[in-house]
Amino acid sequence: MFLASIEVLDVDICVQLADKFVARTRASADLKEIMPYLNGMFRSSVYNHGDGSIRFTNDGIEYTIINDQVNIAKFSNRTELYELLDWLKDLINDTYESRSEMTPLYARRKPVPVFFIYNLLPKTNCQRCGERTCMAFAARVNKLEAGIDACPLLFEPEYDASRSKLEGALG
Amino acid sequence: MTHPTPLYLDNAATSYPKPDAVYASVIKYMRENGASPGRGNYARALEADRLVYEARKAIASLLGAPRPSQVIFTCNATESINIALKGYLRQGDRVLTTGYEHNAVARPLKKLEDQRRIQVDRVPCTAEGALDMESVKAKLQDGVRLLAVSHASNVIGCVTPLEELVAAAHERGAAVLADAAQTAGAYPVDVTAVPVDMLAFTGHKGLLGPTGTGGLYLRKGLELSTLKEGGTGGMSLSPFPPDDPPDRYEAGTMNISGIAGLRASAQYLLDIGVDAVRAHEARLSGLLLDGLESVPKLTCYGPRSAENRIGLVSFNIEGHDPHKVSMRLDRDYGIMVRSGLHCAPEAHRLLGTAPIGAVRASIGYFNQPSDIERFVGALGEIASLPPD
Repeated sequence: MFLASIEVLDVDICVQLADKFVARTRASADLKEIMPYLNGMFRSSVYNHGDGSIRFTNDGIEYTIINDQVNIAKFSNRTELYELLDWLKDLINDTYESRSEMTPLYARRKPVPVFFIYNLLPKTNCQRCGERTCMAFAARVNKLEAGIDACPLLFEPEYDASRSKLEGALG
Repeated sequence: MTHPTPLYLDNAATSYPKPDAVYASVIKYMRENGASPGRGNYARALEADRLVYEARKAIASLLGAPRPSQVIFTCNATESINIALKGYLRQGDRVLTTGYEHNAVARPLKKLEDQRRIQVDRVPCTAEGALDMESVKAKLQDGVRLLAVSHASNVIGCVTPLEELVAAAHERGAAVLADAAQTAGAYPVDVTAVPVDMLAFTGHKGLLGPTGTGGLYLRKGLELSTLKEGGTGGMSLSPFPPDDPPDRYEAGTMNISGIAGLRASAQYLLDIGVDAVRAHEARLSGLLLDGLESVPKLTCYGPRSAENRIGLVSFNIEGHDPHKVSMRLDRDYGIMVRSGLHCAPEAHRLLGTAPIGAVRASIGYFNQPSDIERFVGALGEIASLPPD
């Protein structure tokens, strides 16, 4: 097995969201080799081949991997953390096993510009996403700190076209 | 006469012995760790976190639950059932149940009848525990919000047709709470294949773990009012319990030494397989039912076939008080069985054995055919004694 375990080093309150946690963990193997494959898998990923680091989000959870260090943010409790670690470990091992059939992606994905995102948002500053303004929300989406699903208005029929464009750009 | 080796046949009350790994795990946790999970950030506390998670994962796997976080740890099945009933039922709700429920279900329902004016109806069933399914369907039409049933009776031994009941309940908009106190670990339970909404279990019977452990499986998305509130180790600034399971329902420091043992027993069962446990116990039940037929003046209750029952048999010997039969078995033969009402007076009313009750012998995974032979032999001798 490529990755035998991921050990939790510490758990703390999430600075951005008071009802969520962050954790620092350490993998039993250096994960650099697997990163280009993860980069190809997650549209949200920010990969740096030189540094041996990757950041991506999945189901609202943020993962940052630097060599053997794995930081996980925005989970609700420690049981969820261990579920996420199980999921990540299985994903990494499955990816490692199947890597000969996969295409690695070494290029760094370009972030979607803030203004492009802002232009497609409702611009009502309704604050239902938790941000004070649509521009602030666009900045968080650009940094992959938020997903467009946090904006309920985008899911109204009148914004179908805007939402499709955003989904296409953000993946 | 005192028999040289004790014979334990009270596994429906609590299983004995436990797998060796259970004793070792409890001691190991208490001696070498001793920390509280979900709170500290030092290495041992994080190890304790991992231990509780592994226990949750093993139990989820045994029950067929998709995610470990759907398993809430409690002290026993009674606490789990209280969380389920008092967290789910609202003022004036209608509840359907059976006529053979344990007091763990019957008493909370009785309290809610008084406190929340809920209406409780019971499904007619035979003395062998067979439910009238047409009656179940008819009663469910009547705005029932919850069907609360034992997966198997701790007196009659019958197994409830859970799959059929869940389909009927869900079709009519009712949720299902299954009391798996007598089945989890000893009889196949799969909450994915048979999608109950809530399933209460205890850790110390078929799951072969320590007493003081148990849990509640909750369907994803089902949120209950909390029965207790307190510290959960995180989000301490909030005056309210967290929204997400399992922390929402687990206020206060849990029974970690017990959970350490439960983790070991659950892993033991995963290794040997619940189907193998069930096959072994069904074989012994068959031998027991056959053996009891040969004992004069003995009346056996519940389904005739071992296939339709869990590993327990309740019976009475004509002219002999069940308590005295139990005492004689212990004193003269070293055999431990339980007599009385087994905390399930409704089941005994159904059998016509209330208020005195019956003798119940219950088999465990570590019993052998020779134990059954010895037990039946002892009963034959007692039955030949003059009536009390």
